Amino acid sequence: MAVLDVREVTLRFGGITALESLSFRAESGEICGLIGPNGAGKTSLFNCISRVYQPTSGEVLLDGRNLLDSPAHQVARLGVARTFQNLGLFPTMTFLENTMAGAHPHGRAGFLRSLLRLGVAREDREMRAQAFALLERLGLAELAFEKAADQPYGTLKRLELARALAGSPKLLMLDEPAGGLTHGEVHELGELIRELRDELGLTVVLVEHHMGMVMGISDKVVAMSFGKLIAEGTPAEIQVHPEVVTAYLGTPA
Amino acid sequence: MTSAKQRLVIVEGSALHLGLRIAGALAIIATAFALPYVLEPFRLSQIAGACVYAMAVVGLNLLAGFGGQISLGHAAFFGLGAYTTGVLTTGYGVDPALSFLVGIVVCFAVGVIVAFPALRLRGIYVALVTLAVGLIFPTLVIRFADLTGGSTGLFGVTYQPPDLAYFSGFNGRVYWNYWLAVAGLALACLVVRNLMNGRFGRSVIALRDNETAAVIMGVNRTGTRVVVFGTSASIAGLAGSLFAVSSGLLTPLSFSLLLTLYFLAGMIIGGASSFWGPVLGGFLIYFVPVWSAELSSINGSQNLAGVVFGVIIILITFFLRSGLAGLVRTLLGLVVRVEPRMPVAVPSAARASLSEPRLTERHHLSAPADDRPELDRSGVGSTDAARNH
Repeated sequence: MAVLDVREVTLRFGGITALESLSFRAESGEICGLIGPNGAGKTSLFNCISRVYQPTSGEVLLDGRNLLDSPAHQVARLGVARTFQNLGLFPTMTFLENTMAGAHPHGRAGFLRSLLRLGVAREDREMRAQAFALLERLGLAELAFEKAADQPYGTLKRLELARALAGSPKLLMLDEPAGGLTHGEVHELGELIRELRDELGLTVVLVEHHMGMVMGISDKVVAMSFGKLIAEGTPAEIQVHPEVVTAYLGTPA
Repeated sequence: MTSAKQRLVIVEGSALHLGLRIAGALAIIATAFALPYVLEPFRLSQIAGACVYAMAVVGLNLLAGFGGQISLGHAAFFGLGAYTTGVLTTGYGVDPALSFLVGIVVCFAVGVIVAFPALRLRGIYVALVTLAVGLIFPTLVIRFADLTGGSTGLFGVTYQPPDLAYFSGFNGRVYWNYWLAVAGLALACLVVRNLMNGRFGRSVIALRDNETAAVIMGVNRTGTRVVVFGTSASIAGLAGSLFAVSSGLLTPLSFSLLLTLYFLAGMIIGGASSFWGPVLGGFLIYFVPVWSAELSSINGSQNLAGVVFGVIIILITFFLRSGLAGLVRTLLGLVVRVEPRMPVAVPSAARASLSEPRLTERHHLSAPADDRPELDRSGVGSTDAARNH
C-alpha cells in the first residue's frame, strides 16, 4: 500500500499556476527525492501536503486517507512531519523544549488539564525523557539545555530533524535538509536519513538541490519543472532523462 | 566576594533546590501575613491596590508576553470586570463573590469574541482591534448611564468582610480588601504558571515563535489563541472586580487607554514572558505615581510619574530587554547556577518512543522486556548508569 499518493494536485495563486495537475506516489519505506530548478513548485507541493496551502483541486492521500479533509493542525496527528527551508524552530526554547514541542500530537494536556494540573507533570516527564533520547540519537544531547537561537545552522538543521521525528511520523518531508551544510555534513546527513528510515520505518520525501545527496540516498526521484511533473524513476534513470537535462540546462541553441 | 567560578551549583529538583523553593514560598506567605501588622492601614490598602494592578499585568503577560499578541484593550476588560461587580452588587444586590464569577465569565466571553477577528490579523492589526475595544469601553459606560452611573460614576461598591474576629476591628475592611487582592494575585499567578508549564504552554510559545511550524506540528492555532485571550481577559476582569470593591467608586475615565498603557509598561519593566517579573512591574506602575505624587507634594512641583516611566522604559529598552526579572536572573546567575536535571533515557528509548504512537504508562510495567527501555526517573546520575548498560 502506498503511503503517500498525490493525485492531480493543482495550486493557483490568482493567475499563476504553481502546480498543475501533479500526481506521484511514494511507496511505504521509500526515500523519494523531489528535484527541479528553482520555482518548479517543490516547496509549494510540500505546503499542499502539509496543509499550509489549500490546493485548488486534487487529492493528497496518506494510507488512503485524504489529508485535505483535515484542518492543518490535524495533519501531524495523521503521521505527517516536515522540516522547513528556513528552519521551523522556536528560537526562545531550548533544544529539549523544541523537541518536546514536536511531540505535541501525542500529548493530551490541553487548556483545562493544564489549568487543573491533571496528569500534566507526568506527561511532561515522559515527553522530556523521550525527547532527550531522540536528541541523544541525533547527537545533540549535549545541547539539550541550550537555547535554539544561539547555535550554528547545521546544528539547528539537525535539531529540526529531531523536532520532526518527535511527532513519530509515518511520512517525513524534508525541505532542503542539506542547505547550508558543508560537504562532510551533507554526507553524514544522507547516511543519517537512511538509517532513520530503516530504524523507524519512515517514508521520506525530500526536496534537495544537492544532487549528490538526492541521487545517493533516494530510491526514487521525481523531477518537476514549472509546476509539472516531467520525469519519475530511479536516480540512474533521472540523471539521463532528456527532459530533466533540458529543464536544468536549457535546450541547445 | 564570590567570583563567577565559585558559583553555588544547585541541581534542579535536588533537595537543596526544592528546599530553597519552599523557603522562598514560605517567605512570601510570611510577608503576606506580617504586612497587616507592620503597615499602617493606609499603606496596606496601597499594597492591595498594587496587587490588583499586578494581577492585571500578570494576565496581560499571558497574552502579550507568552502569547506575543499585544492588547491595547486590557483596561476595558479590567473595567468590564469592575462594572460587572459594581452594577450587580449595587443595582441588583448580588453577592460580590458571585459577581466576581460573573465578571470572569463575561470577560472570558468578550475576550473570545475579540480574539476571533484578531486571529485573522497579525502584529499591529491585532493591536488595532484591541485598541478599538479599549476606546469603545468608556464611551459605552457613559452611554448606558442608567446602569453604570455614566460619567458621574458608580458609588458605594463594597464587599462586607466575613464575620471573623480577624476582620472585625476598625480596619477590618482594609484587611479584607488586602486579603482579597493577595488571593486574587496568587490565583492569577497560579493560573498562568499552570497553563505555561507543559504541553499547552509550549504550544502558546510555539505559536508566538513560529506560527507556521507550530500549526504543522499539530498546534490548534484558533483554539489556543482564543482560550489564551479569554483567560487573559478574565484575569484582568477579576482584577477589575477586586479594584471595584476596594476603591468603592468607578468612573469611566479610570479605565481609559492610559491604564492599558500602564499595564503594558508594567509588563515590559517587570519582564515580559517571565513568571514573577509582571508582579514586580505591577507594583511599580502602582507605586511610581504614588511616590512621585508624594515627592511633588513636598516640593510643590508637578507630578512626574509620566517622566519617571518614560525614563525607565527607555532604559529598559536599551539596556535590559528582559526587564527587572532578567536583571535579577543575571545577578543571581553570578552567584548561583541551577544545573538542569538530565532526563534519564536509554539509547533505545528513541526507537521505542517513536514506534509507540501514544505516550503510555509502560514505564510502570514492573518487568522491562529486553528491548523495552525502563525509564528510571529516580534522579540525577542514573543517566550515566543507563548509558553504560
